[in-house]
Order: sequence, then C-alpha cells, then structure tokens
Amino acid sequence: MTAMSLPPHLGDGHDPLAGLDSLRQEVRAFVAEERKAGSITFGQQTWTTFDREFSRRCAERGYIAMTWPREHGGHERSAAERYVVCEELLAAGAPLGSHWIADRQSGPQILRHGTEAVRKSILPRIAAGECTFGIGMSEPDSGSDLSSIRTRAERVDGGYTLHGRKVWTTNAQHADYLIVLCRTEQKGENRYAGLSQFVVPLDDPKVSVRPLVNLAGVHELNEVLFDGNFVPAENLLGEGGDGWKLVTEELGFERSGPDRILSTMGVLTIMAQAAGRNPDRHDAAAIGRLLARVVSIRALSVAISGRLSAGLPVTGMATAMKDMGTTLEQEIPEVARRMLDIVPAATGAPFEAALATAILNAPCFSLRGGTREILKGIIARELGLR
Amino acid sequence: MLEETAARILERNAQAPILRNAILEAGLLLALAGEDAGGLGVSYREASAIAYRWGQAAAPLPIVEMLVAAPLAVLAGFDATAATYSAGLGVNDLLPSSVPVFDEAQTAFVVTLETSGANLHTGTIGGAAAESLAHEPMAALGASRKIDADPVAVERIAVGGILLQAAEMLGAMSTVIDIATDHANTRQQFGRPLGKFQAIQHMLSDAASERLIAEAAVGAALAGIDRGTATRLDWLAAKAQAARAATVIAANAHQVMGAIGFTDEHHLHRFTKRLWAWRDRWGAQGWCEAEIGRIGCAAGGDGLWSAIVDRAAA
Repeated sequence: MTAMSLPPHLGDGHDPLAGLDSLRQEVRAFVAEERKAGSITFGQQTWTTFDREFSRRCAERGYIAMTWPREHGGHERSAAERYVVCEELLAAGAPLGSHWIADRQSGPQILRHGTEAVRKSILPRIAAGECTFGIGMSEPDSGSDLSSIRTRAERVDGGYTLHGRKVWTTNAQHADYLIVLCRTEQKGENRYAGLSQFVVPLDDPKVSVRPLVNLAGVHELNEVLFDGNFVPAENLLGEGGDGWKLVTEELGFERSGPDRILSTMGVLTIMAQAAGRNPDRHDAAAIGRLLARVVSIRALSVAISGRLSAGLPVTGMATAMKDMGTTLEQEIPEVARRMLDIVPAATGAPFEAALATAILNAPCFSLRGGTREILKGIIARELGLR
Repeated sequence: MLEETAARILERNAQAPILRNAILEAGLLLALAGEDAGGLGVSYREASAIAYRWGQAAAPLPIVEMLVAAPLAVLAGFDATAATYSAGLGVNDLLPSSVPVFDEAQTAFVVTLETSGANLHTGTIGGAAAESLAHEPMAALGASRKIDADPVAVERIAVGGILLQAAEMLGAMSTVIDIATDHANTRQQFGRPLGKFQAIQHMLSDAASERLIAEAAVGAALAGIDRGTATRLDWLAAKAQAARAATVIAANAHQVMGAIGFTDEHHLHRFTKRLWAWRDRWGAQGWCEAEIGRIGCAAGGDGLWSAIVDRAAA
C-alpha cells in the first residue's frame, strides 16, 4: 500500500461509521427543529454562513469540540462520531460559520501545539460556541506560494508585535482570533524555515478588518491589517520557526472532511425531487453519475477519517479527496442547470435561489484550502514523480 | 495468504492451461465455495486479492467468472470442483449474449439481475462469439435453463462478481499508473523528465485520484457485502466509479506514454484494453449509472441523504 493507494484486500474491512445510527437520528431531530425555527434555509452555503446563536445551540448538544479532552471543554467522543455529526449538519445546509474553522482546524492546532495558558483560555470558549476563528495564511502577494509571505513578528518584551496584511479571511469581521502565519526570521536559503504561527486576538485597535465583497455581493471574506499589535509570547504555536510544518499539518485536517463534498448537496436533492419517482433514462443517468461520485468520494473521506484516527499518513489521500470532492461540488449545479427547467435567481423561489447560490459560489470551491493546481502538484509528488 | 499464493502462481505460469491447473491445485478456484462443497469459503474481500493480482498481471483466464462460477455451481447442485465453468451477468431479465471462456469450459452459470432479486440459469458453452476488446475468447450460450435457487443467495454471488470485476480493474489500473509514472520519470524531452511538466503531473494526479476513489468505493462495498450491510447503491456506485476511473486512467496513461504506448509492441495496451472491456462487464457502466439515478429518484428529495448514508445493522 503506497501513500496514494488503498487496495481493498489490504484493508481491514472495518466500517468506521458503523453503529452510530442513534447519533444520526439525534442530529436529524435537531436539524428538523432548526428548520422549523427558520435557522436552516434551503440551499444556503453551510460552513461559511455565520450564525453564533446556532453555534451555541450546537454546543449545548455537544456538537462542537467533540473529540477534545474534557478538561478543555471537549466531549471525548470519537472521530467517527464527529464525522457523523458534521456530515449530517453539512448535508442539511446548517449555518456552521461561527464555529467551523475553530472546530475543524484552529482548536485542534491549539490543542496540539498551543501553550497551556492559551489552551485553558480559548478552547472551552470554542467548545461553548462562543468563539470564532479565522485563517491567517494568504497575503496580497502570497496565494498559492505561501512560503513567500511577508507578515512578520518582531520580538519585544514579553511577546511579539505583528506587521503585515492577510487576505481572504472568511468571517474575520465576526472573528475573535486568527491563527496567523508569519516570518519570525529573515527569509534565508531555506524558504520554509523561520516561519511561525501565532494565535492573534482581533480585539485590538492596531488590528483592522476590511471587507472583500465576493462576486455574489456577499461579505464573507476580509482583509486583516496588523499594525504593530502586541501578541503575548504564550500565543506562539509550536517551537517557533516550525510554522511551515504546522501549517502543512493544519491543511491536512482542512482537506479530507465532508465539507469538501457536500457544498452543493442541496442541488442534488432538488434534482432527485424534480425528476420524479420514475425518471427517464437520461435524467436517471445524469443523477446517477453524480450520486455514484458522492457515494465513492465519501467512501474515501470515511476511509481517510479512519486512517487519521489510527495515526496513519493521509497527506496524499486527503489532497486527492479535496481535489475530486470540490470538482464534484462544482459539477452538480452545472448538471442541474441543464436538467431542470429552472432559471437560477438569487432572490427567486427556494429552488431558483439554491441553484443561483451554488453557481455563484462554485469558483471558490477549488480555490479555498489550496488551489486545484497546488493539490495536483502535491499528489504528483506523493505518486513519486520527481 | 490467498494473495501470496496467487502472486506466486502468476509469477511462474503464463500459459492459460498451465495456469488453470496451478490455481486448481492450489484451491484458489474454489475460494468462494463453502467448505462443505470442498471450497475455502473465504470472504469476498479476501477473494478480491486474487482478482486484483490477475488484473495487475493481465493474466489469461477469466478469473472473475471462474471464481464466481464455483458458488453458483453449488447453488445449482453441480460439482463445484469440476473447474469447467464460466459465468456471466445479464440485466433487465436478459441473458448476456456471450461469456468469456477457456479451453476446458463446458458450462456457464448466468445470473439475470432484476430491480429486486436475481435468477440463476445454466447453459452449455456454445460456439465462439466475437472476442472482447481485450481479445478475450468469448462464447455464445448454448441451450440454457432456469434453475430454481434462492434469489437472495444468487444476487449476493452476482454482486460478488460485480465487485470482483471491479477489483480486477483496480489491479490493472495500478499497473497502468506504474507504467505511466515510470515513463514520466525516465523519458526526457526538452532536457528534462516528462514528470517535471505540470501538465503531465496533473494527468497522473487525476489518474491516481480516480483510482483511490474507486479503491475506497470498492473496498467499502466488498466489506459491506461480507457483513451483509451493503446497499444496492453501494455496489452499483463501486462498479460505476471503477469504470469511470478506468476511462480516465487509460486515457491519461496513453497521453503520457505518447506514440510508443499506441503500438502493439508496448505492453500498455494489454492493461488498457482489459480496462475498456471490463467497464461494461458484470454491470455495464451505463446501466449502473441509470440504476443509481433510479434509486436516488425513488428515494426522492427527502430520502436521498438517507439512501446515501443509512445502513442496516450488521
């Protein structure tokens, strides 16, 4: 078995999600309540849509920080249980934007690499649904070429001061913290050396957040400017200087989850509904091709989550899953458009709006979390191309 | 164990009749027959190792048909140890027009798969039919009759055949990817290895990703039928994805290999032609996709998600 192959006979035949039906039913009952209350609307973007009240209600049910230790506000449940809860909420279109980034990557990053002080002060607030995180990686001149970032941290008494700019930070206007990747040493021969990650509080007059309105006219993305704001030394993640290793690890967590398959699940649901119980062969095949993809890519995502729990390497596999999953997310509205007699309209009826939302958001699926081209390069390397 | 035995046999034997004797002696042909019928009674996931190795080596003999024929023979009341059987799958109540054969084949066990349930037929091996895209010898079915057998048991074996065919395809895909990757790393153009070009990297990346998804889907379906939890959607999706992956992998490998891969002399076509042929054997891709769509539509908007994720308890 290589880093990019899982021949069936070499696996253990174990279904990581077996036996979790009652948990699924519990989440579905919660979703049904929330639908009735109007907090889950049809076809909306799910993990970028900000709704802190919704996150608080998720927290009350123990749906945030599920796998973390109890001493940090977690629930010590399994990765499989978390997977089930997440995919149920995502498939339903729940607004997870207030806690998603913190729960998926920032919290786990603090848990693994944060100081005790930071863990104690922040993790329980994430678990309670009270604390929003943003990602501070990209910069105006550093997109895919992440190691070329220029934001820098200068050593001062008791900590650091930050200078620089981050862009494309989703929900920064609501966020309490960003995990910021910056230079702590001058760029030398090894471009990946001398980078560090910090947990940076945004409630600071020397930090400013500006909107970057997207093509759908929605304000989710932001530019964040750091003008000498102080960050205490205890907010450093890891050893300092090992930021590249940390950020790579963080992206691994970011790439293999159900959030990379289900962004347009609502549109597939519309297609199954509209084709009726006895579709003609053309409609059946069009839906079947997409559904086969959902089932198959999800099987990979589930297998990866099993490997993550077992401590097995997943870099190449997670990267492949994201590449294929996001391509599927983009394909679904394009097939729907041609099959359904619906004119997509953002302010139209629910089906029309769902289709419009999917089409307008589709370009970002294969940009966020690493562009398609960067992903394919990583996969090629894992495959042994030199 | 099974996998090592299969690998050892394939290493030493290349000719069909000798290969048949070797797998007969090693007991591999009866892997799926129960122990009371003289077989090994292994799980489908374990048996998939044999099909995988076969595909990886582009070995002669229709191994999927031979493996599946054994438990079908037992159901039909035949002596499973005879090793003179082939098998096939038809859909929508139609018998397949031909089945793959080998010199000693005398009888075929053919399953017709319905929307729910399955029927078993047995027939004599008739005259030669048009060979497959991969030059596999095929024969028409001679006189056939329907066998009165438990439809649930028949369907389970037919689904096993579908997934073993997919596993054999995974084996062939792995060799195709190895051949193309090796070529990309060694062949130089414009003063550097082909693999340094981003366009080449992306084609091979897509090939590897498609294989990985197929492996995960086939693996989940195999384990699911062994446990008794797999849904119709699971195994149809696994075969549809194997076919889709085969298409991308064969196309991209040929593109990376250039003209040399298009020659009779180069061995790439021994694998890609099998992939092209097997996409539509044991569940044609178009049929799988339409069936999957019908399952999704029957579930409707409210039931679609449940159809994807909910499973009966093992």
